[in-house]
Amino acid sequence: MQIILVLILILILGYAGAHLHFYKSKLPLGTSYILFAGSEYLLLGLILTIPPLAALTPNVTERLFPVLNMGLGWIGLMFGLQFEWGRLRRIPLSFMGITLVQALITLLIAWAGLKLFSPTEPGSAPLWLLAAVASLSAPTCLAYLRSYHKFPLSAQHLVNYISSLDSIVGILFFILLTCVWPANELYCSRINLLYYPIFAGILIFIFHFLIRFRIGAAELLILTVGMVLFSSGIARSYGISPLLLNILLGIGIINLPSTNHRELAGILHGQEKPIYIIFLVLAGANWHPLATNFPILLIYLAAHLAGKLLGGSLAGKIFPPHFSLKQNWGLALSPQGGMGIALAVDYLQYRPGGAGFLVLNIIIPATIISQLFGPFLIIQGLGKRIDR
Amino acid sequence: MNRIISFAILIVFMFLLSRHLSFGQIPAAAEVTLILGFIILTAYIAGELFDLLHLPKMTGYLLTGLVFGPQLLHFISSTAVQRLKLIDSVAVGLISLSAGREMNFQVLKKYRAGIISISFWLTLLQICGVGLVTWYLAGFWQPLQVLPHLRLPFILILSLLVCSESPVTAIAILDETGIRNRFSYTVMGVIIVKGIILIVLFGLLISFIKAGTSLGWSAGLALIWRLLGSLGIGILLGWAISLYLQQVRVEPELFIILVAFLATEFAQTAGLESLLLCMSAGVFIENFSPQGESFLLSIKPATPLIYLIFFALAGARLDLYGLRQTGLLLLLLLILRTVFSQLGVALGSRLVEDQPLIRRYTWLGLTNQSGFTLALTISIGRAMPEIEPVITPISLAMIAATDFYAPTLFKWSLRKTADLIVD
Repeated sequence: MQIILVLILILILGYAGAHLHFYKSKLPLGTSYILFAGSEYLLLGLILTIPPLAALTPNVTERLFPVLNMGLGWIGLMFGLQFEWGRLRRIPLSFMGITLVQALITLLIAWAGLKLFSPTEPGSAPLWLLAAVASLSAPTCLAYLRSYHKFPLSAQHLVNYISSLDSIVGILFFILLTCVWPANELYCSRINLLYYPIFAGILIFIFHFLIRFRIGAAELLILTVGMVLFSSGIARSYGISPLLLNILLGIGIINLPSTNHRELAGILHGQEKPIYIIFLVLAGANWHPLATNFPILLIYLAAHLAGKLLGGSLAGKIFPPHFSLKQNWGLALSPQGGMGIALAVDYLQYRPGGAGFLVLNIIIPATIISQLFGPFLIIQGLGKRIDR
Repeated sequence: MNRIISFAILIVFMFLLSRHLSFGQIPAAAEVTLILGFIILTAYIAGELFDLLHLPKMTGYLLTGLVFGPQLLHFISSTAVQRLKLIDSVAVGLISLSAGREMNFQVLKKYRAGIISISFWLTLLQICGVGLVTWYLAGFWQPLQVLPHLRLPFILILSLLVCSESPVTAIAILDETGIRNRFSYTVMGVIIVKGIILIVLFGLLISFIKAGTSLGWSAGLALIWRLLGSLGIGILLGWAISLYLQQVRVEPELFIILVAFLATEFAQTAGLESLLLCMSAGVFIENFSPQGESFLLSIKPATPLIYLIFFALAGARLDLYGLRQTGLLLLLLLILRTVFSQLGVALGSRLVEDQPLIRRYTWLGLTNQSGFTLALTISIGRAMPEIEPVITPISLAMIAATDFYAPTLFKWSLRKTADLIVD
């Protein structure tokens, strides 16, 4: 019975989703972007945990953890492939400076805001993690808006660059965090840091040998799925982050000579949507909205916005680019996306229970809200809307 | 060479990991993720190496699962294999949907005489032949001896089991080789027609054995539900998939995977035949929906990966102990099956004057016994628990044995008949 209900729900949602997709251009900008970004799947995950459906029981969700780990690994590998040395070399130094400074300022402001104004002390580790996630930006919203708006090209290029890469600050911070507050006493926290280069080196070597010569798309897909699962499994077994291990794998692979780089990127992007959707549904299934988390959510949102605004402004002054930026251009960095949720899910698996759920309970609604208002904030930060 | 080096490094690396990590102590999700990744990578390389030797990739996948599984090297624990059953449900559903799509009525209409004739004579000769020989041997040979009042039902059920085939391996080989011709359609047609005949015979047999008891009626009703329910719900499912592909078209691959999983789970809980249910959905899409092509395109990218995982896990579950235990009996049953299979095909195709190549090679495509036989065994265990301890080891051993040689035989016969064209 439960299965039939789930099947019917999926059919209805699929049908409704397709119609909403079709009428997307008639929807308000924020709402249409939320559908574009796939946030409805977070809600689907949440709905699937509520009776009478309750298809995603904790037992089922736990059995699907390999899929969740694969989602984390997939996101990590895709992110890592962006760090191609040849491409990074062409980017102005001022861009890199702005990326780092604005992310660090946002992180500190978010931490201070949460520390000072939270009605309840969420604990040191979750607090730092929330601050780390607050420093992230996502490039999807700008990519979505580009088909409707014409922004100043240089500013658009800068924001696109920052929002694509500034997650590395939050991720590295997350790694340090898990070493300072190790969840599992079985593994020494300092050794955890050593595991990353050791495992990444071995995995890069294996993967490179497997894909260095031209192979078909189906074979490449099999190898990529296998490698992502294998590395995520190793990471999870040793209490390190599958996200970072796969980022390192991606960085290594993209910087080694191979004929398959473009095909690999194509496979990752081609299969991204289904894997991302499953990942969002499972993340949504682990989301337990609580009224008590609401004040922290508000503080997080305010601190994130203030951090991006101030961070952008200060970073622009410290590393002035060769073109002019609006004073409030940092607003354009405020939309968040899947990487924040990935970090929260990573943390939840690392520290299951109270602290992990608290972080996820804040990050998921914060991401949805930032996606709702993101398009307007980008328009505000980069320039006036010309046409739609 | 690159792949052999990667293969060796992977195995050494996994060996070191398995020594360093004690799999019982790390989180189950971590173990399962790690093992699944390892299986995919090693099975892929093994499959490629087998392909170089002109052997089926799936034999490589099976061997990988067997070698690294709980029977031999213990890289994969039996608990992990159990936890990966979820993937099995998806794989069985998707493979059966694909198998259904091989049933194009336009094409099959041309070969129906051959398919029906072969299916009939094959079933008759196999059941009668195996039944008579085992009945005779059961009088004095210990491996076939059961309590006297159970002797007839045991022999009849054993004959039915020996007679059964599975479409799963056949469809995987067809996808691997890409060959579609008169031979492949005949083999698939015979497997499916025989499958339906066996479900009916099995239901009748159980009703007959249990006649007079309450189980007699309920077994009959369960049979009707099992057969007609699977077909009917499968058709509904096919219609729903077509509608989705026509009207919605959002993430079709994800939708089909999800539906395959739910359909398999539903079939298990509702007492239906999951293979038949998904196959009839595939048949509907192939013959009554204009969405057949987009369906195929939706599942095509994931198909090789699904086959790989399915067969590697099947390899990890193979029961070597059972193979050793059943020894001579297994050998006898396999010989009987082969002999009567050849006779049945020869007679069936000769009566309708089918092509000589069909007559000579069709039996080679009918040797595998995985999915469907297993489903029958489980049903037998439920309906007749008194003979379950004798039947199940024999059935599992037959599945294990045929899993090894059946793919090679079918691939070889497909090559031999590759010149046959679709009329």
